[in-house]
Amino acid sequence: MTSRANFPSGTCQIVGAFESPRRRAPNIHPFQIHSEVIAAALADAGIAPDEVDGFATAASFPAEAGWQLNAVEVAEYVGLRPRWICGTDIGGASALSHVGHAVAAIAAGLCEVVVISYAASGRSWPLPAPDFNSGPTGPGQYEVPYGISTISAYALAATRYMHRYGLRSEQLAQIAVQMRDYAHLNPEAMFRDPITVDDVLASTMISTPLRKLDCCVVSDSGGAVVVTSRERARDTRRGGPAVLGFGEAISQIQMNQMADLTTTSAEYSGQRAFASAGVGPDDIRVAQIYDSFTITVALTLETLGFVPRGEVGDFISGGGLGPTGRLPINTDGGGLSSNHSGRRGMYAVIEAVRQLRGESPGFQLDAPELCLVNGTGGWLSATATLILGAGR
Amino acid sequence: MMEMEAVLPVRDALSSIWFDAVAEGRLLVQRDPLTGKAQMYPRARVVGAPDREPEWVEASGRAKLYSFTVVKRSLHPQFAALTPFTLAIVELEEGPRLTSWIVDVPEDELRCDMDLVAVFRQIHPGLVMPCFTKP
Repeated sequence: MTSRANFPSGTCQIVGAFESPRRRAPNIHPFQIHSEVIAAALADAGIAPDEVDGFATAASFPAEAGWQLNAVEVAEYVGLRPRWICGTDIGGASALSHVGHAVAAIAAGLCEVVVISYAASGRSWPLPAPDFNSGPTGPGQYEVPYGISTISAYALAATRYMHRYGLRSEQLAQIAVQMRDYAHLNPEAMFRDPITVDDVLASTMISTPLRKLDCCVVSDSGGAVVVTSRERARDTRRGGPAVLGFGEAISQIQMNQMADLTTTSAEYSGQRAFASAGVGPDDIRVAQIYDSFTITVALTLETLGFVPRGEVGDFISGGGLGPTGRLPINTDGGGLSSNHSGRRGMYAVIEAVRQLRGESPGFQLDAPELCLVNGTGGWLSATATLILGAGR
Repeated sequence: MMEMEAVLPVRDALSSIWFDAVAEGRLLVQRDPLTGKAQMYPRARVVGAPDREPEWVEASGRAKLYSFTVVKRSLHPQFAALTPFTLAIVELEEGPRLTSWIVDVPEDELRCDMDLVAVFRQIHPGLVMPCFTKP
């Protein structure tokens, strides 16, 4: 559809992937989970730990236990000695950025086997952590004193979208219901009992219009993927999906700086990913769309071009996200029901890999060729988009 | 212990100009001397044009409600006792948006794009901030 712009499309593959089955892990330090998932992802790939020469992670959130040099801390704990290291931190979308950056690094010859890992005790971390996107200094001193939080930031976007386009709470609720239906199929999902729209609407109102069941779960977990060159991938245990498209973009930290509360930066990260893969929304039949909250999904579907502006409510009501719908998403149950320990992006990438390998633990489509992954970090602050291809 | 300090503004030389005005009941915004475009939050330089310094101007206080959420539950110990409160993004007549509170407006009267005017309220002990209400 458009030219392949400045991304080495198809030169690398994700040859190993592992999502920790942990969901509640009190007293388990996140670095332990890094070790577990790195070992398992490398075993999945059939690559020995001493072959790893590139490493990426983001572990700066309090429940991730890293401090300023967090990627170095995790590498030290695990015992990695990479010649290429990446600590890009764009919140929940970080793992997608790490994959894109790893492909660029491998294509440039900086390294050949990259491990990307993530772990957090989002649920059980024993130390208090403020729920702010910034502190009351500099830009934050004009916003933090008013008590904004993650959910209220997303609620502001929801209110504006509903006002502008007429989306109803029961339509948002249907997103949570569909994710739970997929989680029901996934033995490792955090919550598996089916719910109804009425259940969502009857759940505790937290910050209007978002209720408790409009919010993702809060888990303790982790995951890792292994990225390597197409040449090296031939000699791995199972091979894996090719990275065809990638894009990333930033929006804002302070909510008063967001140009349009109904449009995320996926407008740009998505365009870049589609352009580099040489495909468009019509070519995608399954996707992993970051679902920190129901509204995150609604905004992203329109911003990526899967649904015309203002029509996402009807798309949801019409079953568009269901197993036989136009675009099944979050086929493992998503962050809303399966796993969200702080940065969902890693789990979204892993589920895309499983989907393209035909082994989703939730709802498996019949031999999909492509899977789009979109991560949203912070408070609609930044996005990254990947397009993976099964390459059968 | 340190909870309230964690949400109170840590003033610097630039922000003190704005907070000192707020304490006098005046709402300042900044303006690009070249294009006349207003900007908030306050910065040392014009957004996207760090070669220019903005000038301070007093805002009219008139605004429209861009978006809002009534916070019913808060995990912040500093804000849990204040619930419910109406968090908002307001769009000033001059163009920039502010994060703020809507005060003295019942929940069922809140509408995006409704007209608002600035009022100054003590939202924490010792901290007066601009809030907005019906004209």
